[in-house]
Amino acid sequence: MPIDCKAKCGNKAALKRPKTGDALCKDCFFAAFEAEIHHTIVSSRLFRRGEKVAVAASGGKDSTVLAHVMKLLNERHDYGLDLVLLSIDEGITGYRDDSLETVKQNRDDYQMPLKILSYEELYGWTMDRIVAQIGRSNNCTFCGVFRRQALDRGAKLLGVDSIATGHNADDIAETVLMNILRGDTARLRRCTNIRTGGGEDSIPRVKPLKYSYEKEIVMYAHYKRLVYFSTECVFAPNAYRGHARAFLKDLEKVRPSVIMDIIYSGEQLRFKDTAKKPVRGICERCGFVSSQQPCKACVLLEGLNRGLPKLGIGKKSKGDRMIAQQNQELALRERANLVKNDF
Amino acid sequence: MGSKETPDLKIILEFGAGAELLFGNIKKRQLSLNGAQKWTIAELLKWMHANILTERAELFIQGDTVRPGILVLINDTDWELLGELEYELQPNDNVLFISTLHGG
Amino acid sequence: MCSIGEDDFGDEGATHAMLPGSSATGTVLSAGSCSKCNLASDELYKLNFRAAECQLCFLSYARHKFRAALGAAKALPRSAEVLLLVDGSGASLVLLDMLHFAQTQNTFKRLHCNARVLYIDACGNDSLSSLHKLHERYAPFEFYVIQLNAEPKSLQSLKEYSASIVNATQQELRSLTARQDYGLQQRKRLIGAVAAHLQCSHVFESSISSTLATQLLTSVALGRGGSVALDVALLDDRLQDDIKLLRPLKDLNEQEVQFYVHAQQLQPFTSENELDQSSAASLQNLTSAFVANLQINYASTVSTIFRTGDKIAAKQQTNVDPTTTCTLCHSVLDHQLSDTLLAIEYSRAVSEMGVALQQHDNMEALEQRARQRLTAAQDLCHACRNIQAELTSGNIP
Repeated sequence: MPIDCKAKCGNKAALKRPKTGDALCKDCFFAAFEAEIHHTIVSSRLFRRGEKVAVAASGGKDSTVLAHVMKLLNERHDYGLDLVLLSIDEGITGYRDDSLETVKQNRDDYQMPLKILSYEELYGWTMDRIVAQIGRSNNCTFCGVFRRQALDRGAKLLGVDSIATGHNADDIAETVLMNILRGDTARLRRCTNIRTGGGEDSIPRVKPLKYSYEKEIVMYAHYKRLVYFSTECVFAPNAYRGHARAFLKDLEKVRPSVIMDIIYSGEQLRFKDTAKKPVRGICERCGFVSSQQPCKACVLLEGLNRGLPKLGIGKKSKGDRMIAQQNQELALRERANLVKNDF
Repeated sequence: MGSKETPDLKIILEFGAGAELLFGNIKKRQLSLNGAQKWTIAELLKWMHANILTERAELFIQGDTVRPGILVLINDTDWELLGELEYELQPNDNVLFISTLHGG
Repeated sequence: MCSIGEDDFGDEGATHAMLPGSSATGTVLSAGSCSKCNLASDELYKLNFRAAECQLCFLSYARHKFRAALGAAKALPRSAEVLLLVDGSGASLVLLDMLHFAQTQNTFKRLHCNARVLYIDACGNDSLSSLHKLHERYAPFEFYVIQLNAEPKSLQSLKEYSASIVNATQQELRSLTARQDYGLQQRKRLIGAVAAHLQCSHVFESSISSTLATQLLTSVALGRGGSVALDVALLDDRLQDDIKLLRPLKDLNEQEVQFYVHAQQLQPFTSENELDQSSAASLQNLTSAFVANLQINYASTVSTIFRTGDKIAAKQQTNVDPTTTCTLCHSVLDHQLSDTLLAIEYSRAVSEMGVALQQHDNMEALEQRARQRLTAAQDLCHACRNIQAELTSGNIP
């Protein structure tokens, strides 16, 4: 009944690989899984010898496996990379505080330096306080926008040459679907890229797990007894990505290769000239990469500090009106104070 | 409740990576199933649904199988190599459910 | 762990998130006065995003969409020979009715083309009586019937048609996904052949925005991203002999079709095209179900998907060399080596090695093997290679 390992090593297979349908034993699976990531790193020239690379570590399965494999391949193939862990503390009690313990475990296990940057120190706000002010709608917008910039800031602080993130093949396929569902051609153009950013003023981000299936990442972590954190965020709304995720998983059940096929499709898409193109620039306020003036993070922060948390949600023109109105009210109050002082 | 002729079928159930949250947050439990009948994974799932799947069953069960995205390992082997729902449980089998749906 | 990548948010924050909202299937209201022409009417038609209007105003609005699609792109030359596909669905009857109306207009507004109707008989002849009734209603058009998988020359006019047993050798394919994908390609091939046989230069197909949204996601899931633009565009030029497939109803939505069917008292006789729509799981069936669900709960997302399709550009064929198109689906082949496809073949290569990789991890030799496999079947596109891989024997003809 048990199936033999495809590599003809004499062992019984332990898992079926979703990408190709091949059945492998544990040891052959480890070797193949690692060799594929090595191939991705080398053939896409993700790093150069002597570079300092931050592994974006959340304590979850993807970044835990990424840190483990990066460390292992760096030694096995002598990449000559200086690896560090970079974590963002959003300030979410009962969630991030626990997952950071997992990241600290990674730090000790892999003997990699760890830098934790908090929203508190970067923005003066924790997610707990943001949610207390704005409630549970749009909170993921704040968190997502702040995290994106926080990683950039952390990378700059650490002086790294690139940031490696744990995005896996399923994530990328899902993002392709998401961007089709919301008609975002600007993101469709770049969401399959293995490397993003990296102009003069931004630190490139790379995805060494681009071709690694979620199933294999979880199996690898399980068989290797890697400890990771897997609790849902206490603030996450029930179904933001849920629809695309569930759809993709249903497709994968029927034809596991669909994940790679969707990534391939995403890469093959070409857009008409009239479709929106991403424009990259620098935020005049904070100096970080942005396609808007000022950047989204600055607008959201201004909204929080002004007590107008809806400022960055929705259209820019609406936000401008809100600011104008508040300034007018402040001016009126100021004048009222002056009048009072006359007496 | 097997008689002396048909001892209970004892197996171990384990849950990982968040799947345990749907089962009263218990990560590992021993089951004694009626040894007089044949138990396939399909039947085990029905039993779990009726007896220990305490909340949000739709996050675990879809149709008559587990929701796609939940990995099933029988004695540490991928159930996809063992006939999935048709696999017939043996004494002392270990069945592990790992969620991949709890992000990363 | 948070599963919301920071890539989800940028310039617009989460304003792109899907908005709940049902597509009220709309209602034909009782009497009232038309907001357009102000005349009192027994029945008012109330489309989403439009004021209630009388039947005539609704019909001219819907018919205008059809004419505008053809006119804006100058897609149909004067006096073109057109083959119109009717599959019994509401949309296909709407297309037939609109074309009939356009041809019976006075000279000034008349659409100048010569059309005949083709019905592809897939499952016996329980639709024949409906077809005969349809022919009576649209007598100026010649009606033809052909059986699926039959030879193009076995085409018969409806008057003489009787179903016979087709014993074309059916290809054995392992999965329903591959069977449906292959079936679709075969159907297109048959349509092209019939059109050529009847010396038609253009084929009209009745896809509407929601069917095209489904088609877009399906093609992406099948790995047809390189050719998906043509799968959802007004004009698809992949049929044989330079025959053009047109989708003049692409801008109509389901509600408009329903209303039109009601207004003109059309009688659809099959709800869907003849593809295998059993409940069994395939990428195609799952995608249809997904979009149908969106239509109910997030209606605006369906039109967003459709509009995404409008922004995708077709690949330009660099020259007219026929070897640059796929022999099955006739899409332009991508000759650049894809890293993603290479990663799949590389994965196969390392799986065959297993632990032996630790002794001799010769990346270059493995990559060489992967490249060879990738370039082995060069006359098929990636998606059609997936069909080929599921054949139980032989090759795609």
